[in-house]
Amino acid sequence: MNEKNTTTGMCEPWFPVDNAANLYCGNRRPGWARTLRLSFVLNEPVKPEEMQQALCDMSRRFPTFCAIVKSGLFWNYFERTAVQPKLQKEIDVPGRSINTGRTMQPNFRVLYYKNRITLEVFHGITDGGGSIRFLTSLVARYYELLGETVSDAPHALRADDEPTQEETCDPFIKNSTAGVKAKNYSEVSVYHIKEPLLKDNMRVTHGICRVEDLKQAASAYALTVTEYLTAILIFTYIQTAPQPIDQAISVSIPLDLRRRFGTESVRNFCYMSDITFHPQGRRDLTFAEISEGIAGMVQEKATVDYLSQEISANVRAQQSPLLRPIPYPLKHLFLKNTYRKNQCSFTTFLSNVGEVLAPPEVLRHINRAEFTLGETPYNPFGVGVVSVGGLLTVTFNDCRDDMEKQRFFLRFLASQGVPVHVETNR
Amino acid sequence: MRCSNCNVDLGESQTTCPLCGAPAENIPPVLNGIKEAPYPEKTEKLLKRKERILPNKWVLRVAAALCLLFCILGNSLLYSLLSPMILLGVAIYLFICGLKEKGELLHSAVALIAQVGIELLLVLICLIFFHNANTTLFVMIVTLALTVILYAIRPERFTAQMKALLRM
Repeated sequence: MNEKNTTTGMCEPWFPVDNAANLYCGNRRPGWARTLRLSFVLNEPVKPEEMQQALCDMSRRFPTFCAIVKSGLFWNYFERTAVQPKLQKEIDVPGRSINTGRTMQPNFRVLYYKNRITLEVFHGITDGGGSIRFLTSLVARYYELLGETVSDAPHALRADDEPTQEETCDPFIKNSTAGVKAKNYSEVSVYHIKEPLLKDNMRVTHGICRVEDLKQAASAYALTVTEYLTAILIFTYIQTAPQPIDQAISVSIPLDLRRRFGTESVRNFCYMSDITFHPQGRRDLTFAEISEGIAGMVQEKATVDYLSQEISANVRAQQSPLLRPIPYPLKHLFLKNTYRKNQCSFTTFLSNVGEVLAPPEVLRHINRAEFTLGETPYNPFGVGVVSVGGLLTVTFNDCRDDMEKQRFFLRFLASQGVPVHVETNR
Repeated sequence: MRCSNCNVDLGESQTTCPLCGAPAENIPPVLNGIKEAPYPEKTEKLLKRKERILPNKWVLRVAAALCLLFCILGNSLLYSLLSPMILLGVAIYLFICGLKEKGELLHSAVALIAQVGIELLLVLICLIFFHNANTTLFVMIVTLALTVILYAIRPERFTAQMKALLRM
């Protein structure tokens, strides 16, 4: 790693965790750390040697990825590691937690199996948007090494370029404003699944469909794709719950802030919005009623002004002069409690990371993408959405032993006139 | 392949529908161009990947706890001989870990600094209660020397590490 490059802001062998990562770093447990998983299914089998070379090239290009989380006296921080990431053949269950404890390995892994190339990364390093940039750049570099001439694209960073300050800085601090009060999490009671979880047994189920079909189906209800899928998810919960649901159903919807704030950071930069619906004990709710109830909810909270206030409130909380001198073991208790409140404030999550914008020479090799957020101790069931080349994949991750929600969701989607292809790891 | 029950397409190699368990039907799929991408078979015993491990912080914690216990017990053999030997062993272990870590030696250096702190506390306890801290003092000096050697190997990284540790 080039420690003398003054343009990058990465001269130091360490860097602070970003505002969002404070929670992820503070809530790790032995054997668990929040892990994202992003895969590209290629049209041909992966060639390991060239992919390993591409990985070595991109690990230099993404210095914030090649880091391990460490605990300081007052805050966590990331220390850059000299250990080169190694391409691994996938043998385990998908989304296995990254070991962020006693190891020098970077807090991410790149796996391959037949024609699938996968990035699994600790959420403290980056979010879905950053994962897309890394994996797209990796695959672009891979095809360059295989002899393709690859043109520029928004999500494909060049291996020969140096990392910039924009990519490596904490975008939360950069985009916050002073004078905003810290916020409190609401204490509304929400519905939670209460079923036994199977350890080391994550099931992923993919529902693949055409983006155009989905947009057409969503427009019939005047919804965006994200709102439409969220409405189906809420409908699924209502119809498959063992008893009528009295509490609110809240779906956490991470919003990528990069476009809204015009930043190209590869670190965490998203805001956890939510869509909340109150079934009030009714099981006879129609899909149309649910759609009407949630329409526009995300858009309301997606304005730059609102998001700027929310970011500033979080940054202010972190930079509070009362909080900063508190030793980390005590702060840890506070962070754990904040994370628990945050996670318990929603029923499930639906994370739509959007479209992968890869160079056309690379796009013709990518059949589809798959994205999942992985399980947490509080939410064993969740949905990840990503699209590439006209195909959108809805991925369910589930640590329970039944398929009822996936079955209802995908059958309903098919009944709406959206042809669906199903694959699973079981 | 398709499942008529669920009205979804399935992969060519699917024999049953993963959603409902019904047999997959040999009907042309509605969606074309979807590439099948199987997952590896789940193995009963997951292979442990060999990863480089940092010095176990429990080594130092257990050693410190044992030494304090020896002081409390008040047996001169324990606090004047066994306790310093344990600490010396831990210091050498941490030093060797630091040399093996190829530039990431600072984790061991930080552990050694912590050990110097623990040994200083033990020296004070031995001086106050037992009026004899020669061996513990000797081990503390050795630990300090090992820390300085590790600092001397990469002083700029050492300083940077301290900054990261103490950032408020």
